[in-house]
Amino acid sequence: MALVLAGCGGAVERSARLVDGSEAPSLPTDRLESGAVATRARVRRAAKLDTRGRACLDSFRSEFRIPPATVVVERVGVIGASLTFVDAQRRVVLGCDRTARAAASGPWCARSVGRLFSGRLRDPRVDILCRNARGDRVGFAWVEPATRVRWIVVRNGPGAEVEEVVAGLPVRIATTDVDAATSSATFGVRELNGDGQEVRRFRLRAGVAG
Amino acid sequence: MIRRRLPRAARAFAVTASIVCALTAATGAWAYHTHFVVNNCNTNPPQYTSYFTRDGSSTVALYAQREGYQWAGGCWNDNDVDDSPGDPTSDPGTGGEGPDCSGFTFKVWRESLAESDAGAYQWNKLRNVHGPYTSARFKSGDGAPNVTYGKGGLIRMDALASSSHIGLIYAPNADGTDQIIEAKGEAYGTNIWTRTYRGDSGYGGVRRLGWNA
Repeated sequence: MALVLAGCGGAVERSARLVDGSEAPSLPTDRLESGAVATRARVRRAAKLDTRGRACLDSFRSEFRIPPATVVVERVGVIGASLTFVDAQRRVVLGCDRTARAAASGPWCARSVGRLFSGRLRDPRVDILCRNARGDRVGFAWVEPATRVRWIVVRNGPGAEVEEVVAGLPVRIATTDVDAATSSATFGVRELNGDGQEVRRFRLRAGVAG
Repeated sequence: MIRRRLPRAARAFAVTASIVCALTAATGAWAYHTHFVVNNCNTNPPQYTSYFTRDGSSTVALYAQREGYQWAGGCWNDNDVDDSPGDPTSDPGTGGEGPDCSGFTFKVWRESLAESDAGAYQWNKLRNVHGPYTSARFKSGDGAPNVTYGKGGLIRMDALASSSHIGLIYAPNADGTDQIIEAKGEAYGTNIWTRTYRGDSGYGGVRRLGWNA
């Protein structure tokens, strides 16, 4: 993250780059901790995805039906980027993850599948094998937002990423707090409502499963 | 707002309670918990071995037969009983006996926690370990010991994996099906069944490299 001096008054404004090189959007509320960076969340239709996005969906097509009208949430953050969507039967949530580091296997460094029970996940489907540009492990997991939650803040060392809840899908979050010895990752999560008030706060320690 | 109206002690209780609720909701551990892992399992280091065979891994796999299933699990004894039956499906926090499908494969294939290490490591059956791979990871051949492999050439102790399940070939059948040893689910446990995974387009072949025999 870079600190940029903006304007003649000497006010300090935060400027952060996301993994795709773009500038982070403005923070949605001023009630966030210092070091927080807003990520970008976009809702797309499967048919409108770019080559990279289509590669993700195609990798699941031998097992799951994914119609062109499928709603896909694309997230781009500081640590990583992801796609999240559900299959036509709404039995599973599917997704792909990547970081700034190129993956040997293609545009995505991880693919995940989570079984839905009454439309919700019971397991965050953590993946811990992606690496960032420095070679550090990156963990990705889904969280199911509580009712009324509009924003999810994920603490990462001195910084935090702010994810918008969109399209009613689980939110894919990222962390560098990965423990290879226990094949797990830890996420410090705060959930905020649309006014920026905290709805709940928890520490999610997720182990690899299934 | 609770913070403005309650005295300090009540406020502290409310905050503590909300954190506890949030934590239990996050882990899912509120619903059910067995003490199998706590009472029986360990975190001992594995033993490196320079010689490992498909026969040996078959023996490791058979120790888990009839020992149940635990989502995210990797610890079992050898008494042919699921000591924590009926755990909620896909709940990692119940602490029950048995592996899940990918944890079973990791332990039977005697893999390392470091995905760059293709060496063989003997994990005791009571060592609670799952390993870093999901079935989707195995299907992609991720990790130094693992490669994708043509389904037609798969033999005993190779694997058939989808994005949500993996099973090991115990013995191929003459009709093109296979006897698969796998951790199938809470309702089924870990055992050997005849499966048609080899003919299923959703499944791919995976091989662990480095066998001595």
